[in-house]
Amino acid sequence: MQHFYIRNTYLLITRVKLFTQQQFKGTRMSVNSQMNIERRLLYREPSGNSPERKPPLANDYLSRIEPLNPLAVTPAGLYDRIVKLPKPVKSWHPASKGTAERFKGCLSDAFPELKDLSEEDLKEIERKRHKL
Amino acid sequence: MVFIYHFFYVSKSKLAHKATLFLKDIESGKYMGIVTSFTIAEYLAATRGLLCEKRNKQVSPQEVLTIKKSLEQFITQMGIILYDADTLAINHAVFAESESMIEGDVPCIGKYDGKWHYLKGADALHAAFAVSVNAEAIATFDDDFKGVCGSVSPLMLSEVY
Repeated sequence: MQHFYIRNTYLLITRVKLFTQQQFKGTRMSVNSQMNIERRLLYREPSGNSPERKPPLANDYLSRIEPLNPLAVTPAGLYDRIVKLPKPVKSWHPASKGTAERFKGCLSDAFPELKDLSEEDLKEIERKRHKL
Repeated sequence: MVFIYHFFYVSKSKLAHKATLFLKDIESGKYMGIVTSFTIAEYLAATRGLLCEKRNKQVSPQEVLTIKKSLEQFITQMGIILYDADTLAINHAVFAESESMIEGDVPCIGKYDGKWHYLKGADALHAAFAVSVNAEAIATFDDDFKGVCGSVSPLMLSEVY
């Protein structure tokens, strides 16, 4: 195998030499220039003026069949509502009766010092919150 | 503030009365209530501030726990949906939404105080959370929400009740 390779290379060099001689017939070329052309042809170094183009990438995705998400074809907005919302910490359920009444003033009972609060005091908190 | 008005119920206060009426409507099933953990944080901050100023002393961790527990129990028994604000912020562009809320907000002059009202930073975050949970309206007494535009609209409790 190695031998075959060397022989072929030798043959190729001979051909390249013949080719360059034909191309530049009548013009005097330095040894270095000739060697440079030979080297370029042999090893196919890309030229700065015409760089070798890479072969286009094969599109592997063309033949792939994407399964259709049934939720994506639901009416507009429904997909967002069902899929995108994270699970709540506490979910909805009917309220137990009398809850609103039971909790009315619950903190006033827990902190008796605040039993005499006025509407102005409550509005003051709102005003302070506005400063945020 | 709706919770604070209800929990520190002042019989002479019109706003406290309106807050109670609204919460009773939630209890009856007229509205479906949604809050986030950010709402709880704001409630806690406002209640702590009120206690500090009225009693002129610090609020103990035990008292903070009592304040927090009262709202959590209320939310549970009322069937109000509670979302974790952090989880919502991960799944939705909440801060970008709040920015666009501020950009689209229409400032207005208050009917009673004659002052300009416009959406503030924390308000915009509340509005953005409301949008992220597909809420239809923001129930509030705060006139700053009046100019909110977009998929969520303000439910001005002082005008509805």
